Amino acid sequence: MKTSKSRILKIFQKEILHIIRGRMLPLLVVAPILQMLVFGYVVTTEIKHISIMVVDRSLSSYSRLLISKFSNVEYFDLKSVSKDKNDIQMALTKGDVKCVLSIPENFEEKIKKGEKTSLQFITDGSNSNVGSAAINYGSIIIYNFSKEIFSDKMRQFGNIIGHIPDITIEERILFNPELKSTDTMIPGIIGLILIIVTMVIASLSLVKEKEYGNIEQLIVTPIKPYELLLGKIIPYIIIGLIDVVFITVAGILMFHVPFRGNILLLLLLSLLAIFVNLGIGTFISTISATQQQAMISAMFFMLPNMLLSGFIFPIKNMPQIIQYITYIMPLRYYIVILRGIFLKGLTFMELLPEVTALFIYGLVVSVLALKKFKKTVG
Amino acid sequence: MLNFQRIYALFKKEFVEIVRDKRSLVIVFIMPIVMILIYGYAVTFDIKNIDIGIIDRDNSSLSRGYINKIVSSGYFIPYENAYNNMDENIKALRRERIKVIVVIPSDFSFNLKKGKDVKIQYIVDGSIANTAIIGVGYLQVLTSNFANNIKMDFVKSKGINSKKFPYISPEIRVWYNQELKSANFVVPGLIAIIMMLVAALLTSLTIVRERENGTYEEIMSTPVTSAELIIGKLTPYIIIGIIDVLLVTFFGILWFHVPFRGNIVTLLFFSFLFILCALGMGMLMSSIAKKQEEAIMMTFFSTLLPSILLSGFAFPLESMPKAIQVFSYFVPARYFLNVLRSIFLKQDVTILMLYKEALFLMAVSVFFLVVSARVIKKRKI
Repeated sequence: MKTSKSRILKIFQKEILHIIRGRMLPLLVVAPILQMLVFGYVVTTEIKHISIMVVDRSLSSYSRLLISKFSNVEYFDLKSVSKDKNDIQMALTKGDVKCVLSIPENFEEKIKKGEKTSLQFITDGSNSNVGSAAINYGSIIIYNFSKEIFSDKMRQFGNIIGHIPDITIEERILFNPELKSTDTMIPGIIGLILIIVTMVIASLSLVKEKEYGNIEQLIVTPIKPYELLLGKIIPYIIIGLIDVVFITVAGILMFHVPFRGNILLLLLLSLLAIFVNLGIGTFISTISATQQQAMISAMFFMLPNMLLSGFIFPIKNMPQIIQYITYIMPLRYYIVILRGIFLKGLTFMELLPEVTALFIYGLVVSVLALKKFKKTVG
Repeated sequence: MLNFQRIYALFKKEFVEIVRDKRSLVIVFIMPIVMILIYGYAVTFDIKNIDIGIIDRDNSSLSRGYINKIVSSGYFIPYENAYNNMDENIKALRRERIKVIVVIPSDFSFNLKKGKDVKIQYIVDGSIANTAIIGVGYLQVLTSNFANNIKMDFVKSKGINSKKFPYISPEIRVWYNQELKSANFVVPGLIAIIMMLVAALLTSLTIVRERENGTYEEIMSTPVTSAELIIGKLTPYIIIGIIDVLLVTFFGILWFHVPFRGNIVTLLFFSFLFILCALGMGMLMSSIAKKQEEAIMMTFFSTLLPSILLSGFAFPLESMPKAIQVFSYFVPARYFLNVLRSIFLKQDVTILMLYKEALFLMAVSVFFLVVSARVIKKRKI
């Protein structure tokens, strides 16, 4: 047992030296922080500053009031106000604006008469996400405007008959009261960066030895496959943990994300996530013949982790089959853990389903990697 | 100046290397289709089916009517397991099982009938900000519509016989992609990403691999010039890239019924330009890097990530900070994506409208190819 430990230690030392001597160290430590900076600003599901053109043929105080509602929110950027309906076609085709609000001539008249009016709201659907966001925000603004007009009318009646009952909403927003997009995204970004760093590195670790022909030399030594794997992986576990601390601190300092949970719980569960990522990476490494293959395979696993984990796109709205696929994404579980600990201060027991899933996941990929590796060695 | 026999020999060698490696073949030709299949369905910000917990302390026909209004809107799904149980609902909210809890007070119908104001409480999980913003927005609209009816009834009951209440509603029209199908938006974007992946990543290894294997010196000892080397090595990837464009395009059209309203020649022209860009960038990384893993990492961070993040593929550029938006102007995928979405979805777009994009892509590819040729030349000695 003692010799086994020392063998693992030797491999460990070799791998550490390899990392330090190569140009990989800055990539492993500096890149994650840079990524945090870039991702933190770029990755948002909040769609703001949608460019809008208003065609105002009513030219009334009501239409101006409505236009001001659109120009006062950061969701829309009012690009131009036109009187001519024919401008719509050109503006949308050229992509100058993403949506157009068209106010009809009889807008004021109808409001004063108390009739129903509809406003045309045209969106460019070619970017379906911006398009649907424009529809969501635009409809909400128009309905709220309608409510105001309606309330004005009601007030007139109120002067005659006294108080008219109203229903108001009191919202208590938990966990992220200001509804900041960064609070949502930063915990997820930590998970994503961790995947990029750990999985990619692990996927290259063994195949590198294979490509250089070192693997045969290692096999003729008394080193057992699991010792080799352990020795190679432990350095990356350490680097992964350091990265978690780095990017967590960077995220908190740069983006002022609240941290309401237990830091030790975060580290413990991150260790679990690192274990899974490295397992997958090593598995990819065992089934690849060249670094190119390993890298591209890792890449193809990473992209779905980004898109199918609930990090950006809500899983709830995906087709059922795709929802099943999301269960294969380790980030799906880790993201619930991260958001839960950061924003909600969840406890270990509350996270038990995710912890169990990651644990089983890690065991399965490790066993697979070891089996596959033994076979290669044999 | 260029010797075509030598270029052809290099071309053949590179081609054979690609074809012999079964995995890269699978990656190059099968993965794009798998990606389109999965992402064509998955990539949507649509916010519907928000799970909502219900605490109805009133349990009158009026309160049930209100709940029915919310549920029948299609945006919310009631969480039946914890109906009227606050503790269970809060637990579900923490576990992300539900996003909102609506609490209707016990005097809801009593007060409304008496003509008093009532307050409905919403407890919202803000941890996913976007969902919370849109969800609360819908709840406000639904509630005010419900309140309007009550107000109208109340006014009538007080003897004011008016049918005239102004009401303004949006009439939504969506152009270019009527159903807001995410596939229509994703397929053009994926073409750019896949080509970056195939072209930049694969080429980033071509030179550095030769260098690691020691075959680089052999090539350099031949009379091959650096221009010939680059052309010979890149042509196979150009062919693969073009095949991928056609593959993804046809698959998108046939499977997802993505409209193709533009011109196939325009598509091929811009695809060719974009492949050149991607190859140029990959080639430069390959000639700078000492090791394959370095080349891979550099390419990943300088080409692939920016193409995903800063091109408008998934994240709208408009909502990014201005400084980051400036960066996005240097990302070729941004221009290519614009072109692709226009060609696919807008019929009336012409090459003339896209001349800026064409010029930029040309400039970038020339720049990268020339610089990598320089680097290769220098390293020769």
